[in-house]
Amino acid sequence: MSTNLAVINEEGNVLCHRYLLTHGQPIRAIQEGLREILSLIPNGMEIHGVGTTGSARQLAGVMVGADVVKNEITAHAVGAIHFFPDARTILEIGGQDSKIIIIRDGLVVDFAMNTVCAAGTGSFLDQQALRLNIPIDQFGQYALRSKSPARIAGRCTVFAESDMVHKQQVGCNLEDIIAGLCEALVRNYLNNVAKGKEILEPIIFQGGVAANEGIRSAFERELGKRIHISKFFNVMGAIGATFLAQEKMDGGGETHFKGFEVINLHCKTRSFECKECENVCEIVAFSIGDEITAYWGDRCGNWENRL
Amino acid sequence: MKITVPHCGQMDIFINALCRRIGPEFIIPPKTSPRTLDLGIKYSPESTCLPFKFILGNFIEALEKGADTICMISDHGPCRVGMYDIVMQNILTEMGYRFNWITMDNNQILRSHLLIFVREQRKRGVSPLDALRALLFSWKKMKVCEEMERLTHKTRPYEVNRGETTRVYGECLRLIDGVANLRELKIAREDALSRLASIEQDRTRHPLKMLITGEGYMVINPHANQDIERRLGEMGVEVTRTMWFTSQIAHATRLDHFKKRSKSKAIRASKRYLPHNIGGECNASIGYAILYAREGYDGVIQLLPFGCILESVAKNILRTVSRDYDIPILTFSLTENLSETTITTRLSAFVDLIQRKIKGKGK
Repeated sequence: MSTNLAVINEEGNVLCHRYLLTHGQPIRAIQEGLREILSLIPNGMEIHGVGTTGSARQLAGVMVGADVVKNEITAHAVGAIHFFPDARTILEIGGQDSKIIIIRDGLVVDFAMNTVCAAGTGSFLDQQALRLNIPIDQFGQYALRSKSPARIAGRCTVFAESDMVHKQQVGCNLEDIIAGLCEALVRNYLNNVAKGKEILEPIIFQGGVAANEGIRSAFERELGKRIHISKFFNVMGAIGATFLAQEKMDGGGETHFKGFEVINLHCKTRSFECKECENVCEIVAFSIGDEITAYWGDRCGNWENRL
Repeated sequence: MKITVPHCGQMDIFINALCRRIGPEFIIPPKTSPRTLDLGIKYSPESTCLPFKFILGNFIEALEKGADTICMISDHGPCRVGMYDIVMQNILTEMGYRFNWITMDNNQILRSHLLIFVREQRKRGVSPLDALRALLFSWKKMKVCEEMERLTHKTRPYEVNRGETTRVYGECLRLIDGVANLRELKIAREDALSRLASIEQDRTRHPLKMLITGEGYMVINPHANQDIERRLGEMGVEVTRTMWFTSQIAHATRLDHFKKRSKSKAIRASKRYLPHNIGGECNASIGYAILYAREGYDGVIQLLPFGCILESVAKNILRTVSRDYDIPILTFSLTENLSETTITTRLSAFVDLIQRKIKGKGK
């Protein structure tokens, strides 16, 4: 959904960060993001290490030459712990998934991610905002204005939408419907993703959806606890990846960062099915210019080891 | 009679060895592929569990290949495997296939099946002694296969070239599958051992140790669990699992009484949390987690097919086990539409969690 970049200095302070919508084209988004970051960082600054995370971590990793390629659960936890060292629960709702991370004494001890259904993630909120013709950044304010939220079923987004349509046809006002939706999504999150987890304070809420005050206040009402939102809530994964890269590079070694030239290079991916065995893996080939620089997606490693 | 069974771990090697010796003709279903699953999904009730869909797909493909007799296990109690045989027979008949069906009932393995088996063999002119010899040979072969697989679990986290262990293991299995008598088996075993030993390894690594537990079909079958053993191995984790063909048979025939990690011991270990044996693999899933936690394993992964009631019970109890024994436990609820990314993301986060936990303790 989004492509996020962040730059930190040796002391771990965030110098600059960018949040871009991917629009389905990760390579272009990464190039665009790097271009913007390049204009923001102070002159003469050197990059000592790069980390990538998220669902396109592999792609981004080979593109920029990452030193660390990490899953987003670890990255989010590392980022949050840096800003809230005593955090014990992280609620994270992004564009396409939601997770809960349980932390004790600064260490991740448990986590869960939505499994069979993505109901209640950012994409659905976006969709509904579009349908109701409300800018997504005002969605939360609408919810906060409601006096009596409408009862909406949040287990499945398709049913949630038909509930919303039904409520609007019987005459509920928009604010109540939106507030009802926020409550439904929070209930769904707590019953599914966070089921059986011990949610202790301090609670940190991050990911793109943390911008939505309606969801935040629904969480606070449902849990009866205060929710903290970091200044960098929507780029926390990227920030976490920078800390992971820093940790790695402190152990010595040269960075693999390819420099900002990649902004202007012609990068391209191509995918095909390998027919060598009955696994029929989907292989992705990544090329810069005419030269293929990486393969992934093969179970056996034959493609990956080819280069 | 052309007999077929569903794919389950390396069981086809066992049946193959047996049938080549004393008959009847055995039709191996084509290796479980995306097509198998598609067929299974198409003809199964929508809400049934994942093993049902895989097994039905195996049967359809085996019938296409010319099998006329299907052999399928059954069980008592709350697990849905108890309804598999009836429902599958109905579905396949409705699809227009004609076939004989043999239900293998867990509780009668010695009483009725062995007798049927002996009677059938006598009809074909196979003496009981030959039958016994063939059984022992197939059993030994299976033991060697499992020995190799256990070795790959130990080798994979150290391999330098990703995928080499998996490739060599495939060669070894073909080697073992091909042998016809005990002498050849011995030579093949030596050969396989030396091939596995010659894999280039980096012995400076410190792999984590993890147990894979949960519902049997998901644990034993790489095609059902998204190849979780290989994935973890390549992330540098030494895995072991609760479910093996020989251990399962040994348990059913009560031959595993004195084994250190037997299923009965696991069930006994679960008594504190679940005094009644509720069937399926539920008690064993819990018990094995306890046994391996006591042995100092670093983590446990529980696999269940989405909607499996027994393993859902185990899942909630494992949460308490995790707390009591201070061992991280991750549960995967598997469905047919689980993407590769979700698996790898969670696995690598789980590995990170454990590594950081160990590092934190070291400080």
